[in-house]
Amino acid sequence: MKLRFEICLLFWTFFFISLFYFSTTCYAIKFDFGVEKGDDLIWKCNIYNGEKLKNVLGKNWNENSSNNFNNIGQDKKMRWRVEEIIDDSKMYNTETNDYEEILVLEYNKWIWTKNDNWEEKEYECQYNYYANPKNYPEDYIFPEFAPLCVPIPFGDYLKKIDLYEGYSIDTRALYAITCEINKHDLEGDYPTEYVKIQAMYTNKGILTSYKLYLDDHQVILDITLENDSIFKFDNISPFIPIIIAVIYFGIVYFIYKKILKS
Amino acid sequence: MNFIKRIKELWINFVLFRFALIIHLSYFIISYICVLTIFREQNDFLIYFNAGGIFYNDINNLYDQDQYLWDYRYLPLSAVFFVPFYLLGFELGFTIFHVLNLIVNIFTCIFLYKICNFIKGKDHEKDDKRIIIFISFYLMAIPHMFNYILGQINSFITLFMLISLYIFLKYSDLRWQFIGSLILGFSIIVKPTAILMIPFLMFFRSNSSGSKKYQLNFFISLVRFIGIILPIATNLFFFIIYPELWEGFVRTNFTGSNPITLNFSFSITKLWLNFCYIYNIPFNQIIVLICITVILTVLGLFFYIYGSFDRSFNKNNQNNSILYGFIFGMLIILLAYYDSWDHHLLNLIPLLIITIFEMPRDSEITKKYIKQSLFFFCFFDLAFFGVWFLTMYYFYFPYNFASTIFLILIFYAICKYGLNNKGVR
Repeated sequence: MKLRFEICLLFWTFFFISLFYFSTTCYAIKFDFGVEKGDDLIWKCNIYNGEKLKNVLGKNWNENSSNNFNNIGQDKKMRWRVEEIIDDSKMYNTETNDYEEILVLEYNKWIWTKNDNWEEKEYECQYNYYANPKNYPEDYIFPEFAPLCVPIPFGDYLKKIDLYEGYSIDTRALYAITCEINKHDLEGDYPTEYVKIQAMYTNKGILTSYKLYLDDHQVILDITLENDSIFKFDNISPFIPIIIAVIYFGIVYFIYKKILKS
Repeated sequence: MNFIKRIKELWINFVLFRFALIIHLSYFIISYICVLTIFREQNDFLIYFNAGGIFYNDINNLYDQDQYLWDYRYLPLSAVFFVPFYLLGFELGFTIFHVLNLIVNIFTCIFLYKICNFIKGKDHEKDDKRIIIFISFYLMAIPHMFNYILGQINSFITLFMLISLYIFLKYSDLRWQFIGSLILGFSIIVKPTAILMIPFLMFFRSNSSGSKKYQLNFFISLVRFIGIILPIATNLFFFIIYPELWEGFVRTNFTGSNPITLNFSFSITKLWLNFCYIYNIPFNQIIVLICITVILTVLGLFFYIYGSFDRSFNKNNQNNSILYGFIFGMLIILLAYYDSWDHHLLNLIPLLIITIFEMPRDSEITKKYIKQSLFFFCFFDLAFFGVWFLTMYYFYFPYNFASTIFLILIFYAICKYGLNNKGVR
């Protein structure tokens, strides 16, 4: 009896000590890029409806500050190689009228091409992000609606930016940005109809999937990150989901028949 | 006092129960430490906590998702529940919430015990050993860990649901019908998981009829409807005064973007939306949701109305058919709503345990479907969340359908039981 009382006492003491310990701990978030120097990133465009994109977003839809969609086309690929990450640089901010700290991602870029033999790099580019997400202007819209690379922690960074009302950030399972733009909400009375951009990211903040939808999720632009891991099934990809589904069913059936029944 | 004495007795004599308590307490402690350290900025309690604060300070922004890391999507009055926790501050608020969660789980076990004892037929064991075994499985269920670590409120819903079920099973007079419905209505305010039980509550089968068909007893249906709608309708007051809230609520729950981003939900709706996403098939999320909900509800109601769920009687000599209404409602919401995650299974597991004691002791349906599903939900489901991440990252295969299979199996089993129940007791 006495021993049990002591165990209870020990448990609650531990419980409350931990409460006071943790309650005094402060948490500060420092933002950084998840990519590293030397990382090679290749995106592939699976669906491209150029005519529709021009009608909806204007003929210069792909000319923005990042120019990442220049020369894009179906089955074309774009490559980035990360050269440098700088976190002690400053940039003039017209909102605050001051120089603000920025995170800089320098990379070499090979623009969209069908040629798989990447030759000499085509551009030296950089992506700038404010180290403090509060420094972005109000109702901010990213140049490509959803950027190709986002600082991490992903959710914390994006949630702190005063984004345009159509943005929604989801970090529950996978990292995702959704941007819904109503008709005529952009400059020049674009888009001419409702559009929705849904983008997904790795835990390093790298874009893995980008889809630009019209109403009822009709895709007019689809980009995916080429997977350079050991699992590359380009030639047999239609069969992969079927094989996985069969294996999956097999595992469930095995659990049902052999483990749960016993 | 008897309760404590009984627990002591079980602790000493019942190894499985002792083991279950230790496991459950370890879930409780580990999750407490995790939430206050590594998951300090990423847990559901933080969302509720913020919702409580926003409700208290600036209710208009309750559904402004910029205020939260993850979406706040429950009814406005749900946030009231979290105001006291907000006023206590995160650490103390979470500690009290966490302890409350544990206490609620203890009460859930008590009600589970009471209902199983009350409902079980004469062909079951006289002693309560088997009930204790299943309660031990419930305590050990891995979804508890997920529920604790997220700071979720599913245990509260389960308790409300079980109290309501206990009342419906035990009493038949109008006053208790009203109280039972009212309690279920409160659970829907906290989290609308039980919302699809409403259509099933409208049908009432009296013991005397002996007919296969359910009666739509106007007074009982009306009393139940008022009881359940009354607490839910109080939210209308907020929606009318603050119209922005309604817009935000609908957007967050149904028309917005977050319900359709890829995740490991095992609902049929989500699996279908994931399929459309991967293969670029045009879709309208609301139409998919409505179609699947309507199909399942119509099927469920059909079997509930025409099935013979009233052949076994509890200790008050009342039929136990309402239990199957609860199960159908819960199965349909888990199969139809966008997000059905591991911790939501805590609402279903106790109902499955009760079903085991409601059905005949040697029932093939229990052996083949209910028990297997129960153990799968308790001990295997969470592993498939991990499998989902693997298949998603390496093979672009975002479907977590293991639990879906078991949910469909239960749905099928209950329908089959309704059609074949000869009433052995």
